[in-house]
This record gives sequence, structure tokens and C-alpha cells, in this order.
Amino acid sequence: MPKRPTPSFKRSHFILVASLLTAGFLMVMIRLIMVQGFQNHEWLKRAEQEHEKNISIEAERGTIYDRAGNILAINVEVPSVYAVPTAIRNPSAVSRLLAPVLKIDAKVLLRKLSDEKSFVWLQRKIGPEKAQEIGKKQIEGIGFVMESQRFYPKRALFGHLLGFAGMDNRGLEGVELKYDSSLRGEKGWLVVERDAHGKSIFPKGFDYIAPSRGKDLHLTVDEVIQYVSERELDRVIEKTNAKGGTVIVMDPWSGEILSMAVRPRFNPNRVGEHLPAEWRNRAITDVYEPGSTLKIITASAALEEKVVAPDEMIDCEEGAYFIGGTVIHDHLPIGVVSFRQVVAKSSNIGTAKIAQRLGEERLASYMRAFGFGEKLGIDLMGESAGLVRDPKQWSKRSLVSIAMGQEIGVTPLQMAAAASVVANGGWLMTPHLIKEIKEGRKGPDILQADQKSIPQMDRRPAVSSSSARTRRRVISEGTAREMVRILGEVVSKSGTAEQAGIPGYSVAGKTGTAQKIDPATGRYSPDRFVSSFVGFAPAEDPVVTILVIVDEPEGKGWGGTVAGPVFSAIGKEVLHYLKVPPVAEPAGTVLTASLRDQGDFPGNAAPIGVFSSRPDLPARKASVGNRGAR
Amino acid sequence: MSRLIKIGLGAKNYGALIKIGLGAKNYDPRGVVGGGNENHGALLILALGGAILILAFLSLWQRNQMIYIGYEIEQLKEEREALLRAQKELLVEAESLSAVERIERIAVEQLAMKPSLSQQRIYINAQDLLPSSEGGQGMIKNIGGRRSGSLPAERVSTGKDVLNGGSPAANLKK
Repeated sequence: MPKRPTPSFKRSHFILVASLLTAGFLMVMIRLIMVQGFQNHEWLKRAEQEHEKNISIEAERGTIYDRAGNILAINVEVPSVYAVPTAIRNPSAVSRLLAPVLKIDAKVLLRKLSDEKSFVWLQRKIGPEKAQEIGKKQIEGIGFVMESQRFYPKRALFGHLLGFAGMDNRGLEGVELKYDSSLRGEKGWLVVERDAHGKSIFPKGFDYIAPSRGKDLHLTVDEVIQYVSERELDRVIEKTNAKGGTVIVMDPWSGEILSMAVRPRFNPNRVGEHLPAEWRNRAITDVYEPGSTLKIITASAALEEKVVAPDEMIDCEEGAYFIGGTVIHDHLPIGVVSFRQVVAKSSNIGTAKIAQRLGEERLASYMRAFGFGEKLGIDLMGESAGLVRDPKQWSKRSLVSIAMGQEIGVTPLQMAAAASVVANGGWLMTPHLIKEIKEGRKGPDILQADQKSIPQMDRRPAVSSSSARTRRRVISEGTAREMVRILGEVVSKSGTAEQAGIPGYSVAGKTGTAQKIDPATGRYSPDRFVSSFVGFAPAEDPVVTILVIVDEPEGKGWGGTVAGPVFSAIGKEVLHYLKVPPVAEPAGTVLTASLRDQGDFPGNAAPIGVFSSRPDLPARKASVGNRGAR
Repeated sequence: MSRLIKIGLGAKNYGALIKIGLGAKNYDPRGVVGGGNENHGALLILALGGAILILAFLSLWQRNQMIYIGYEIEQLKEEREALLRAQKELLVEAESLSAVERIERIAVEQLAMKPSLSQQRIYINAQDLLPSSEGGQGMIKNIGGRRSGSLPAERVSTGKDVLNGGSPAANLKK
């Protein structure tokens, strides 16, 4: 018989085992308390990371409209083609089939299809035609995913102004970049639970946060005015074989940009086909020597400072005058003429004499007051401040040179804004592009069929005066009025820009023919010019300010003969389009006069010569409606 | 022993009685047949089982319906998305087709149209179009059945073209 253990042995073993079990149990308990009680957040987070998958849902980018409600930029769904290489039996044959459709080298395609990955993009955001063609082939392992892509229905029209958005729907240039945060909206999230294999358990709606659609932008630009500007710019570039050009049309009263055309052309739908230099909006980024158009500022300053009277006679020295150590010339020798004729005939000598009366400090301060040397604050990225040197850095000749538009760099936008100062009675306005930013909606975008049902009457620039943004008063209303009369003579038979006239309308403006610096010699080139004309119409009650710049036209590139006719052609069509009646018309007021009187036009409520109720805004002198009665 | 079980809604209302029987041959309308508490227990178990079965069936049916409706919702959502996509595509196409450049090209090249001349444009005082009660001159109170004050400009132009003795088409040919 086996020997039975003694009770004491049994007891000690029992205590040992029990103690070990208790200790083990206690350790488990302590660990449990630690995990559940003190570290629960951390472990919960880890578990969620393991089991849940957050899928971000891109918000739909907001739509961009022009002032008439035409769509300028919109997001559309386009197919992207992908491959599951593991599901493709014969990659070589598939690559040969797809290469001609996708226009990708068959070898590159084969490399992708031979990959061991379970998913590869073959080409993203392809056209529906390509997708249809590939779909017809019914290739196993090839599929499509719909992705959102930015589309510009007006193609190259507004190209530089709108800029473009990249593959990830982020704005990269122009308005798209400046208002990217507003346009982009807020991402949505879909939280899905997945199993041990990573497969989604609840593919839809486990936890869904809808994306917020981006805000819609309503711009101040107008499709018709933009088209007319671009068309006329193309015509003159073709005719003169010029290198490029710029046209800006703006409302002088509010600073609203109605069109901004830049050449070389840029189509934001085909960014890859353009050089980065072609994306650049030269109207705001590039500086140029404006030449005689800057005499508007010299003359305004001289009148404001009362250093000259409009009818004062000035000796223009028959075309040659020694000043500042050099001889300056006029393009047309003239003798003693009035100050008006000095401006009208664009006499360099007369202007130089006036500038001497003004002096360096005063001329420099007026240049700055008119907005040169500072960013005007347009709602676009990359605006240049221009090049205006401090008078302390000026040479002996600088005063004269700057007075006639040399030794100074300005942007086309600054020049248009400066001319608008004279047009609106002395106020420098902030040029701007945004008329309204509208809130985006949650969920999918449902575009209303009647979204564009804007009456024809509202297609003209009718904005509330609240959109006008004043920077400062630069010259008095009296000086501005006198300058309008003087600039009106520029477009007369005795002036330099008879061809800039618009039949039936009064025009005021100034020509500019600036020699370009030859980079080889560092001197002014004898045959490379920037021809320009800046003006406004109708002169007494301007509706639009138009700047035309033609870069390096062939032959004699006088501003009056090259840019002047472009101003005339654009001005004529724009004024007709805006239903501004010609002065010669016997009829009363334009049809939309009542709208203007209701406050739909900037500063229109004030009668002739009376300031608006807002002292920080220029008062539109007369409503369009009264023009016909003059 | 008879295994008749009665679930009554009133002992005397025999017509309303529901009978659940297994090989029931005798039916005594005057009272409960069988042995007291034992039968009550069986009755309850069966009733409970029946209720569970019904609830399970309802639950299954509801679940089935949910899945079915879910599929329907998904299908409708897809249809809606497809329609929205189609609508957007059409809208974009309309925008592209209505580009001013294209319209001008068709007007000039295909329809041989020309821009109107200054003398062909007539500007009318808007005040003249308003009824006198609204501060206007009341010259034209109603054109084409619409209040003249809300007329788009081209409607008025058309009216004047007719007054001048020519249709808009005829004027274009001039």
C-alpha cells in the first residue's frame, strides 16, 4: 500500500499552491485595474486604431461665377483608371491594349501592371471618352474611380485671373489660390469598422461626418467685357506681331475689375501645356516703364499744387531742350503752347519744365499718393508694388525722367487705378475682384436651373456702393475735373490719340510710348517699345476706365496708333453692352436709370457734383440716365 | 385524458375561444379540462414559446425589410448621384456652348450677322415706361403682357424696331 502523505505535508502544499494562485490572481487583477482604470484611454485608442479606419471625404470645391452668373470654374466628376496587377493574367497584352488609349508608353504601363501591389493608378482624371473606350475592352483587373476635377468652361478666357487648382483640388494660382480656403470647404469623414483582415464591416454610414461644400465666389468681372478685351488684344498682337499685351477694364467709381486680359494666352484646363511664365498674371506681377501715360500724374500734381494754370503758355523749345546734363527731345517739335497742349501733344520738354516747378519731393509724394510703389491690395496673389525710388537716390535727370514716365516701374493695375483717380473725382480706389462670397451647402451640390436667370438689365455693372473700397483722396475734385478736360484734348484732332476716340462718346485719356531697355547694351532700345493708352469714357461721367498695353509691337509703336484703336474698339463695345447712350442720342435716359436710382450703382444716388452720403466714397457725378439729356 | 387547452378571452364567450389542441377529441365548453396547475404551466410555456416565435419572426421580418429598404435607398442614392452628375455635365456643357466666343463665331460665320450700328440702337427713358401712378410718364404701360418696368432691354428694342417699320431680322440685313 502506498504511504499516505502526512497531513502537515498536504497542508503546506495546499498553502503554497493557494498563495501562488492568489498572487497570480492579484497580479492579473492589478493589471486589469491598470489597463481598465488608469490606461483605458490609451488602450481604447489603440483598439480603435486597430478596428476603425477613417476615410476622409474631400469637400466639393466652390464654384466661381462672373458678375452675370456665368460659371467660370466648377468641379466635375471624371473617371480615373486603376489596375489590380494581381488580377491581370497577361500584363503584356493588357499594356499593349491600353497604351494607345492612355497615350502612355507600353513599357511604362507593363512595369505598372507587373507590380506586386494590389492597386496601382494607371492614369488619373482621364476624359469620359477614354474611359468609355477602355470600358468597352472589358479587361479583367482594370477599373474606374470617379474623382473630382476642376473645369473651366470658358477655357482660356479669364485664364490668368482664375489661375488653376491642382490634382488634389488645391488652388495653385490666381483667384483659385487667393481664395483657396474659402473655395475648398471642409473635409468630411467616414469611420468604418474593419475586421482582422482589414475589410470594412460597415461599408457605409458607421460614423459619417458630411463634408462642407466650399463657398461660391461671385467675381466682379464680366464674361462679355472680358471676351471683348481679349479679342481686341489678340487682334492687335496679331496685326503688329507684338510680344504680348495687357488690357484692364475697371469701374473707376468702385475699383471693381470688369476684365483683365493678358497675353500670352493661358488655358487653365491644360496647365501642363503651358510654361510657368505663361501662368503669370502680368497685369499685377510685372512692372514696366509707363512712358507718357505717367504725365497724367505729373500734370495732376502740377495743377493740384497750382504751379501751373491750365491755359498758361509754356515754351517747348521747338523739340530740343538741355536739362539735367542731357538734351531731351519731343517726338514732334512744338513752340510755345498752353499747358493743355503740352499734355495733349505729350511734350517731354513742357512736362520737364513743369516737373522742375514741382520739385523732387512733391513729385515723389504724388507718385506715391497715386498708388505707385505700393501694393494696391487687389485680391490676387503675387501683386507687385512697382519700383519707385526714394528722391534721395535720384540722379540729376531723375526728376525729368520720372515726370515723363522713365526711371519708374509700375504695374498695369497701378496705371489703371491711377487713371481712375482722375475719372472718379480724385479718389484712389482699391481694385478688387470679389463681389460676393456665398456659403457652401452640406451634402451634394444641386445646381438650380434658374441660377443664371439674371435679367439682362443686371448684366451691366450694377453693384452696391458698399463694395467700393477707397484708399484715399489724392487730388481735389476741381483738379480732377480740369484734368478730364485736358485729357479730353489728347483724343481730339490736336492730340496724340485721335484714333482712341469712340464715336458718340466723349473720351479722356493719355498715350504712352516707352522705349524698353536693351538688356545687351543696358540702354534704351531704339526699336523696342511698350505702346499704351489709358483712358476712360464717357469723359464727363465715366463708366469704365480702360488700359491697353501692347508689348513690343513691330514698326513705329506709338501708343496713339497701336493702343489707341484698341481702346476705341473695346470702349465702343463695352459702352454699347452696358447700354450707355451716346451723347448725340436725343432720347432721355437709359432704360436702367431707375435701377441706378435705387442704389444698384456705386455712388449713383448723389446728383451731379454732390458728394455721396459716405464721405469715404467718391460721388458718382451723374447717373447714366442723365447723360442722354446733355 | 383530454389535452385540450383553451386560451379564453372570457370563459363564457365560447365563440371567442382559441383552441390549441393536440389530439383533442372532447371539448367541454363549461370548464377547463385536464388537471389544474400542470395544464396552466404548459399553457404558459406554449404561450411564451409562441410569443417568442412571433417576436423572432417579426424581428426577422423587420431585419429583412430594413435590408431591403436599405438596398432601395442605396439604389435611389446612386440614381440621384447619377442624375446630379448628369445635370452637372449638362450644365457645364451648356456653359461651354454659351461661351461668347462661340456665339459670336456662329453669328458671324454661319448666320452672317453683323454688329448693330450706333444709329440702329435706340435708348428709351425708363421713366417713360413706368405707369404714371409709379412716377413715370405712362407712355407705355404694358408691353407683351408684362409690366414694362421689368422688361429686359432687348424687348423694348424689339418694340422700337417694329415701330420703325422693320423686324429685328430685317434690321440685321440692313
